[in-house]
Amino acid sequence: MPDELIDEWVGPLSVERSGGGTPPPLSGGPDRAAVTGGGDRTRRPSWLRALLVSLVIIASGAACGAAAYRLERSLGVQPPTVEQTADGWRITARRQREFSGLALYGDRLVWQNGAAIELLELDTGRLRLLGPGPGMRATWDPAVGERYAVWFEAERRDSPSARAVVYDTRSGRRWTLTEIGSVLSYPALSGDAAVWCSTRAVHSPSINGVWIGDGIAFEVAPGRGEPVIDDGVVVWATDRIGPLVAAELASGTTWPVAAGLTRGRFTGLALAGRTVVWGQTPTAREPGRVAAIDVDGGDTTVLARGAHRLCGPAFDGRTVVWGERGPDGDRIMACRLDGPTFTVAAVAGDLVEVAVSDDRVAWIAATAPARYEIVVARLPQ
Amino acid sequence: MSPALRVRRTRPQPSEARDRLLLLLLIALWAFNAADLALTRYALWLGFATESNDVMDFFLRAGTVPALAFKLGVATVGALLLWRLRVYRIATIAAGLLAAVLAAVVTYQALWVLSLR
Repeated sequence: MPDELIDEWVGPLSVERSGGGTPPPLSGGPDRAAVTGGGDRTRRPSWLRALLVSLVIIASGAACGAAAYRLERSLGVQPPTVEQTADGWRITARRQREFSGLALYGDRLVWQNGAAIELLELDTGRLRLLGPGPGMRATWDPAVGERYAVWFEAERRDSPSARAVVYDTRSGRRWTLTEIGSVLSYPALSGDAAVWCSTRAVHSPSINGVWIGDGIAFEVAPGRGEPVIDDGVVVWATDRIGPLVAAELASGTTWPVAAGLTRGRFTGLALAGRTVVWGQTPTAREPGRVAAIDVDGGDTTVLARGAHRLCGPAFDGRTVVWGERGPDGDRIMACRLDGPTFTVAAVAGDLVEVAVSDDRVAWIAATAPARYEIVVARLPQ
Repeated sequence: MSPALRVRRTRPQPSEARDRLLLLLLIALWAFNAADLALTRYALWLGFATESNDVMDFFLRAGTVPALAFKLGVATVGALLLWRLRVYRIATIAAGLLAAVLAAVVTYQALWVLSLR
């Protein structure tokens, strides 16, 4: 701080103290009386002026801190642009970042934005950055449930091992659930349980999980697959063509749900209650289709047939939602388990992922090369 | 010793007005140190931060009270030292710079923690 500023604002540099002597004038400097215009105009020490000067110093420091925060957000974090639409939200990625891992539950939407895990509260439009944590540079697709969001983080993008991280929406805390040897699938989440496929030892993949509340890890069953979970039931396809296998966490029972596909392959698997819904790619002999089956057995119900470039499906227990290529481009389709199929929306660009929860549907679309957006809309009544 | 290498001694220049400013800046410094610790502790509890200062990390692992004692102890010793040197202008200038830097750090931390809640 320049001395002149202190002099001018706080008071004279030298005030006679009791028992002290008046210091000599600065050699070569101007006479103080000349500077101030006379002895009468010399300011007396004032607490108010001292307070004002200290406040100016603190305010300038605080302004620098706020500017640094804004600079880091815009250059380093690069949050997406969030706009409210007539019936939902539109989230646009910045600087060619890629969106993936769309997860929707109630009024919470979680996704991966480049290396960041972001959460949008759909009721308020508040955006939160959940990950990666300190020292971590890579994340994988998240899952979200009633209370928690779970995802994997690693120090490097090509790292085979990772740590499972959880975010508690009630407390706002995040912590590491467990270290994972070798990641083979993204996590799935329901209530207090998160499951995924990973390898603890070489050539021994298994469906593993953890109880989030107490942090106790468990193995569901040996094997490979991308598990989905709901209400204590885990379902996975042992290969890209099946068969489908189910396991109940409470009893530890495992049983086959459906035989493998004879044609095509799975595009996605969704579980709600005890109903599994899947998508199946078209083949030369058979069109693509969306089908459902009860995990306890029974016949397969075909919900939609003839879908091209199938994306999804997603299922929340009431509505099945998927994406397909229509005559005018990609579109979002939906149906109830016992109702007709209807169109939800036309997609601007190429559809990447879909999600559904309650009366909301969300999707990721690539609107241009390396340009992604997430759209959240209400399902038609 | 050649005149060029001689250390120039700063002349003491007592000023009651500057003392008042210094006292307020030292109080602000002390408060900012306490706020810095509180915000750091909260960010650690939330799980969104790690303490990169090894010494402070040691005390934070030992508990909030040891960390508080260490941090405010260092701040108090520093403040007393600057107060002892109050007859020199450089003490006020140093306190002003420290207060500005700590105000920047605390503001940054507060905005960051608010974005998490």
